[in-house]
Amino acid sequence: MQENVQLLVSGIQNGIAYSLVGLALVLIYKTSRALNFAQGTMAGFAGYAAYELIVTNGWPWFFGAIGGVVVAALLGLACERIAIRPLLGAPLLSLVIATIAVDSILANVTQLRFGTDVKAFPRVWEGNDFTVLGINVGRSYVIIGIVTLFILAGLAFLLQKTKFGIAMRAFADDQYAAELMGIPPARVSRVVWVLSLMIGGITGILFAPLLFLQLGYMSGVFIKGFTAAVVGGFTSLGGSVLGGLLLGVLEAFCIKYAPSPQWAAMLPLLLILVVLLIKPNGIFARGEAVKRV
Amino acid sequence: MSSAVAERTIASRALDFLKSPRVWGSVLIIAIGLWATGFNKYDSYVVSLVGLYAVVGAGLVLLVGISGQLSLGHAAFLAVGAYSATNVALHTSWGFVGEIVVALVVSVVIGTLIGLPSLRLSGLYLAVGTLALGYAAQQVMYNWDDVTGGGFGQPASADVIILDRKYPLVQISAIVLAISLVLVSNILRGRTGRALNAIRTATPAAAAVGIEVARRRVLAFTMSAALAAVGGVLYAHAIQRVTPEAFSIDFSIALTIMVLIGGQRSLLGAILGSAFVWGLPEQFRSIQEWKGIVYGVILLAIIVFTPDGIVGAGQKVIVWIKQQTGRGRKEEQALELDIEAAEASLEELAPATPDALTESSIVSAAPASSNGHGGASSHLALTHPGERLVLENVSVQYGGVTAVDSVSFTVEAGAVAGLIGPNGAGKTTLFNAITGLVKSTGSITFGDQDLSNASVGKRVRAGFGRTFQNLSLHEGMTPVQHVLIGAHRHVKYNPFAEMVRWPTVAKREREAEQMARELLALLGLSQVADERADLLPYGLQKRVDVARALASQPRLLMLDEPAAGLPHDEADALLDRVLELTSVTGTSVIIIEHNVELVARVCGYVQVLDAGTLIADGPPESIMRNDRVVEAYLGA
Repeated sequence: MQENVQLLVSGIQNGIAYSLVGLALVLIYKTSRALNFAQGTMAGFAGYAAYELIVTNGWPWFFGAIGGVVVAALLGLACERIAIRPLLGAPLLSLVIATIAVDSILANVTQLRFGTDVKAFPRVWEGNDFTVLGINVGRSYVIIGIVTLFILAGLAFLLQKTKFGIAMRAFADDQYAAELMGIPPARVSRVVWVLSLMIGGITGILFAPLLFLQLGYMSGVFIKGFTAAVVGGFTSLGGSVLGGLLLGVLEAFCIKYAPSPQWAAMLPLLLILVVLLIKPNGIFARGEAVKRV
Repeated sequence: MSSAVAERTIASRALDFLKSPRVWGSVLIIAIGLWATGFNKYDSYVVSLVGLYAVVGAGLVLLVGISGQLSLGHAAFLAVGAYSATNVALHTSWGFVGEIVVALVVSVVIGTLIGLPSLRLSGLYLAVGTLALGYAAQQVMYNWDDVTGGGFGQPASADVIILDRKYPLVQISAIVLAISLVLVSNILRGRTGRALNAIRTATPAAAAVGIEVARRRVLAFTMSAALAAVGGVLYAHAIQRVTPEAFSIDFSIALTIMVLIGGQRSLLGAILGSAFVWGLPEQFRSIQEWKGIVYGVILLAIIVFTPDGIVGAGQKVIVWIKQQTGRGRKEEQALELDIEAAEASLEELAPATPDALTESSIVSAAPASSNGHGGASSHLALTHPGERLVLENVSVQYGGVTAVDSVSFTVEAGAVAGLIGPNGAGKTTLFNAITGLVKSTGSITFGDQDLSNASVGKRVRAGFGRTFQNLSLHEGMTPVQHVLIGAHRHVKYNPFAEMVRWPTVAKREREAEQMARELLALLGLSQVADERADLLPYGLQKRVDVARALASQPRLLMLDEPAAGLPHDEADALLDRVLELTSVTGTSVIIIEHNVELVARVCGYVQVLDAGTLIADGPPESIMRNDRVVEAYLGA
């Protein structure tokens, strides 16, 4: 029993990363109808930037992390301006390819700027793991959990209570109508990319100490975050968070009980396939859009 | 115009044959293959790679560009081919031919199995699904030691053995590429390619003329899988050791990007894309360090500036040069003249006598010869008499809203019925229910067939044809192509004959095109028959929609607001012409229209819908005097 509870907790710990990446992807997909394949690399770049500020330049951890998030936000802004805005209204495929191009460029830049060796990212809160009722809880994950709750609360407040959040939701629902109502599409798109990449940057930095800084250290997380978003229906923010946690937990149990480690590796993809075949709109999607002829 | 086709001499046909890009393209490719045999080992390896990836690219043009399905998992099919090659070489002495056959069989089976469920998905979800499959396939390769040799992989020979003789890979690559391109280009210009284009550009309209949307999509997936597997066989010989590591998601993505860079709807694009993605980087080994940046920047530039890839950019340049030299401007002016002529032509043609129509080869009241070998193009003619349509208690629910509520009426065989009612009365929804595009309850019978629960396809086969309120034209296609799409069910031939463009196929296509031009002439569209339909003036676009519906040879023709947006005289002329055609063949007609005078003039019987219910039906005179109708229209 205790072992299973421990698996559950570890699963949720890992799942948070998937949730955050999924959240960032869905945020962009909902508003600019783009799928950001560069999300993982951008988040990783933020991790490297924070490392450079903290370790090389000796900034305090917190300020270095903020610096990394700012870098991520700037990357989002640049990507939106260079790759997405010129393609507004283009088919999804073109937008996907554009972000793949950005990914290729950024991955190359990361390698040139930061090298290929593995680096240990300092932890924000050094010390042993906590033990609660015999369950092991990583010290870093306490911080990660708190930050995640802040992100979710902030996002919920922004979307539900602020004028801009309402504009964003209107835009996600019907770009054309929103534009007619005087909501500037360029601004919405820009802000959404900045928000999404801030979440990405935070994820990249928070998980850097656990995954170690190395080239493409966020790409595995990216694939799983992507899965989380699909499981959640790709247009539901809450769905992608739940999808990420579900995936993390399933993965933890799979690693323990699956006949071979490869099965655990295949799990996220199998999960996508099953979800797509049974419920093409995602587990947490509500209702189906009526098609007009 | 038909005589011009008939009078073509053998010499001019031979000249056309040699001028065709299929012929000189293939010759050129094979010549390059022979030439590259003399290159050093590395260079000829690169040429082989470009060739084999172009084979894969040809399949992806068919899938991504023409059929509009995005795959991010095609490396898995390349792997099917590669492992077929290694296993055939390890366990048999069948040689290259055996490798190709095994690769084809396995990939067709797997491609169909995967293509079927993927039908449920579109756009983003299809991309995600194929991505997941590609990843899962790679894991299978790592674990299935018996077939793949696990992570260590399996060896493949550099030589290609056909009938105990060794051939250099680069030659075989070139020949396989040439054959693949010819086959695919034949598919693209035949009914399969046309159907796929129709599905991509306007799916409901394609379904409404009887194109088997689901089957065609799976077919496209399977064909692209087979071509990827053929490429995979060559790939095994090129890299000489097949390991699962190679078949990553990145590889799949690169394959799809290849055709986007080259030009997703053009086979030339597949070749150029392959050369760009796989050939070029090999030439720039010195900037290896910067590869990702160079690749990314070029990719971004192509996606942003030329959505149709290198081929699209080339076409733009050609147009620009033509404009600079003055030739382009002339063409534009010529098009304007064409359109003016076409707009005027309908009125000129309007007072045609029924006799003149029956003499036209495409309209005949006599039933077509059933064996399909009747003389000339009679089997493509508009020959089907109508049947009696009976609706009983037909209802359509959208969520909680009842859009059509228990509607019952009858349209006699050969009758012209009008369906009128205010906006939002449920008229188009009723059409959608009759054609099967939306689910309905109640009973729909046509002649002695019960179609209440029939699929869209079955209803089309029963003889339902329709136009669309929003026209649903096929982007980028000409009026002739629209008519051929409409005639999809009637321009039939064996799919294998289609691939090799057997003479009977070419003959059938010529006949069909002739029929299409005659039909377009009857609707005053001959002047613009080869222009892009979606760029024509609205009135002409409307006629194209009608022409497509007529070409499907309906027994029941449903016209959704044929007069809306047209000047009165043009609307009258168009409708009169259509009804002349249908009256000769005795086709039943239902017209949705707001123009009550027009309906009163042409319809023998009128149904009035308001808020989803039938509030009146009868001859136009009585309808016009009906209080409830007046109330519905004017508000009391």
